[in-house]
Amino acid sequence: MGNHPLSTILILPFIGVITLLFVQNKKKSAIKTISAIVVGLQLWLSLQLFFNFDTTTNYLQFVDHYSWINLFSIDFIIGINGLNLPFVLLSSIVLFLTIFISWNLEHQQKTFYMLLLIFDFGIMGVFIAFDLFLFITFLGILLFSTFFLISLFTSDPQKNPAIHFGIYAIIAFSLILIGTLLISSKSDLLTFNITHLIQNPNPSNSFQIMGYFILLTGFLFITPIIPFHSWYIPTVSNTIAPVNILIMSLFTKIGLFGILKLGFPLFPYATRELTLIIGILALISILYYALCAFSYKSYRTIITYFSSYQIAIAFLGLSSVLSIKSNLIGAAATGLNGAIIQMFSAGLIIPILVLLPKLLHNISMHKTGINDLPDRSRWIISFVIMLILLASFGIPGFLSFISQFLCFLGIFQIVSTRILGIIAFIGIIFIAVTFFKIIRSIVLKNSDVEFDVNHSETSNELLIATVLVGLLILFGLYPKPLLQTINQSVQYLVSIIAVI
Amino acid sequence: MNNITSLIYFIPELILLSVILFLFITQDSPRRNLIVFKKASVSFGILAAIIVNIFRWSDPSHGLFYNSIAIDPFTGLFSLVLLSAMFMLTLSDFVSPGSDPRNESALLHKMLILTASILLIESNNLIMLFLNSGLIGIAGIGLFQTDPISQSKRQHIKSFITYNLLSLSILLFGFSLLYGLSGSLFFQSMSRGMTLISNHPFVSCVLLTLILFGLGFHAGILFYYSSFSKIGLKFNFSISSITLFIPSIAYLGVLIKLVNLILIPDGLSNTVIGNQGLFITILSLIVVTTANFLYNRKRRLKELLVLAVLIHSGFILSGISVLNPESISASIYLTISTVIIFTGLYSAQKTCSQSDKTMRFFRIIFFLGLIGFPGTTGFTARFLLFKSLFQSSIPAWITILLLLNLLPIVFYFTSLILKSVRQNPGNKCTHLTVSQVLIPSIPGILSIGLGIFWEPFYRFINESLVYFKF
Repeated sequence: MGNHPLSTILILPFIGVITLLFVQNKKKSAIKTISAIVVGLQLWLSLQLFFNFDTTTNYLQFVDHYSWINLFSIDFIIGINGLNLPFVLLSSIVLFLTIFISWNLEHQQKTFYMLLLIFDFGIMGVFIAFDLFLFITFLGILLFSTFFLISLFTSDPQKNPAIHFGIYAIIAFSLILIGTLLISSKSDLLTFNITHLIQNPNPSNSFQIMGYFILLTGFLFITPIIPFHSWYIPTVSNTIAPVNILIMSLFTKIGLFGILKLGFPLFPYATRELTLIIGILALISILYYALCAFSYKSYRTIITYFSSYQIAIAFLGLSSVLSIKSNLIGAAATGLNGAIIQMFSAGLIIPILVLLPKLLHNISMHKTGINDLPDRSRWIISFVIMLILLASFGIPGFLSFISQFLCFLGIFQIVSTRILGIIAFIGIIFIAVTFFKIIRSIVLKNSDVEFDVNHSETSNELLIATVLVGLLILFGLYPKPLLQTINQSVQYLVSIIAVI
Repeated sequence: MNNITSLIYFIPELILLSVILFLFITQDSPRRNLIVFKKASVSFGILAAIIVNIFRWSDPSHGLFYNSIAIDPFTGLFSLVLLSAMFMLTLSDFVSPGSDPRNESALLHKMLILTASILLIESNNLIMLFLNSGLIGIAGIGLFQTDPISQSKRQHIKSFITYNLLSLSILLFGFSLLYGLSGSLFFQSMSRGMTLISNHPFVSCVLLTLILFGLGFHAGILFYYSSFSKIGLKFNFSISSITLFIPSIAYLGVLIKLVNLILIPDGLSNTVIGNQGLFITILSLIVVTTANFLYNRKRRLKELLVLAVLIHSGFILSGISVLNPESISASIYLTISTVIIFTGLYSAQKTCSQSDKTMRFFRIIFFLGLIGFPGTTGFTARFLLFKSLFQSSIPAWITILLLLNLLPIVFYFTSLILKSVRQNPGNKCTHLTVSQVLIPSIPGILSIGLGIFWEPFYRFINESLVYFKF
């Protein structure tokens, strides 16, 4: 375990699934305990990776390289760099907390935990794989487990969104498969090793544009960015809270991660030329989601739109790579740093927001509402809830503020993206108003926002929300470790894109 | 070596002929206990043929009856696949609870189809190929007669006969043209004559069209969908599988051999195949797209299985069109992958009841293979195929369109998986024997094993192409 932390991280959920296969359905506590141990060990290993990560280099670290298919130079290569470590850490944290959030799940518990562990296996593999064949294998596993989680754990069986998601997932997978096949087939090296392919990208401009376009479209199909968003809202609105968290906090990060991992470094020419498309799509998404969040009354719908809005902000940060054309390398790096941290912070915020209605319900169980609490308690609780919401919105002192600040800083360096940034502020204003509406609704107990609570879906809300808010404050006040982790790899990525 | 000593290299075929002879002699015997002997002779006969076939695989090429039939690693591989598929199908029939007594009476025809299919792939001249093709058709018609015949089934048998005759007559035209152009009936010497037409893409395309349409009926490709699918749907699963599925494997092998012969004559590399290759690829795209359109509202398992066979045949055809070692190996891999998945589904279906947990588990594994889930042989096969297509000179957009044609099948089978998962938990098989679990387990293990550790198997396929010209 000590010498191969990444292999262990990957194999743990696999062992968990095999073990759960032999546990009887009725032994619910055993099922939960096994899952918690597996994901807990994974979290511990991820933290070890984070603390032992060498932030002074952009090289791949903790690499496990096993020969697999020599004939086609397909190898089992997994490794960690500054781009994927935050995602691995985020996945470990969220998956571990999801086990406890779903602790009181009543139906199909074994199926849920097995699918959660398969999801875990798939998403970790996607993040750490450095071979295209391996990457696509894990992506398939991830999409499939997500499809089953959505299909089997709907809150309203009459409105099953799985088919909708399934179509998008199949198209996304096909396009990404086509992209990866094109990359490896048209490379002089005839290899699937991502590191080697990045070092020797295909020089043909027309190929770069075609490959980039296919891969980008593939990844956007599994991301709630307009016009590829129509699967997202029905899916998140009609699944149970733990599945919501998995999709909103983790699954939606795959698109941006895939673009950073494959799209940008493998197609530097196309990245420089076409990334404005990402910026424009992100801007449209920010405005649309902010307006939608503002206009709805249902809290659940609001946070669904808000989660999409946060992803759109990260995509806006990606468009800072356009600065490279004006030789503003630093601006591009700032924007990309911001985009990654934005994904990290959004992943931590979503579970808090999903748990908030139940938290409110728990507070008002003994009394009729917050207003009925004694004055002192009322103000303390109001303050805590306000803190949670402001942490989500991104006021100074929280990680979400830093991430959004960096994204906007990155895009404000050149005219084309600056215009996008200025227009995006309209969206921020709408989101701010929406959050104040929520706070007002909670404190004054009016019906501006409707909170619907499903009692059986979540548990341990207070503990989990406290942990997550703590993390957001910790990284918000002291973001250096996170920024240092990411920065070297981002600098390297920018240098690859900048090569003419 | 064209004398009696060559027979030693054809022991598997001799074993199969002996079993057929035994079944023929005993077919009218009223003694019930003979059924056990019949089953045993078929099972052990096929098993013995498999074992001998494995041992003879590394032998150099051998011919029999003045090279009318010949074995080499390529035919050996296909014989092995045919024998293994047949072994699994018959064994599943034997161990299935409440086995149908008609299965025993159909054994003779099934063995005839198997032997004719093996001889078809081993045929080394046009006459043998034509004769074996006829034999497969006749044995198939005989096999249909063992099923109780209703009016609608009679109609389907009629259409089967008509299509058989049609395909045979097209094949006859094709072979005549091939003989006329090459001046030989034997494949090796024919190859030399084909050099002359390499500069005439139109003639090659006409020839390819005749051969593809001639072999297409049994191979499950081109425009025989209606007959192929109706037989697949209307008849007993056991009968339709053996009549359609076993010969289709052999025909796909023959197609690979013939296309290689026509497109790459002696002394020329595969760089000259441009237009003709493109012609086959476009044909395969049309085949796959048409199949998807025809089956766009089908949801039943049997219908979807027919669709899967048709689609996969189209993909295999696209692999043949490129004619380089990678694409041919990928096509063979896809063929074998389809065989594994199909036999697995068949045995799971036969050995346990529908609502059964074990059955459901196996079904999900094989459906995952059919949709090309990463880590299964279905994914690896398609990955290899599309990789070779992207590397070839075929325009990328055709390959992309071909790949997108996979989406409907992925969607349909994913829905079936979902349906299986959502079913209320069933009971375990009431009298589940070891063999009933073991038989679907073998293709299940192969499906996953060959999906993850596929390199040795891929090399094995690659080595079987030692006598191909590239």
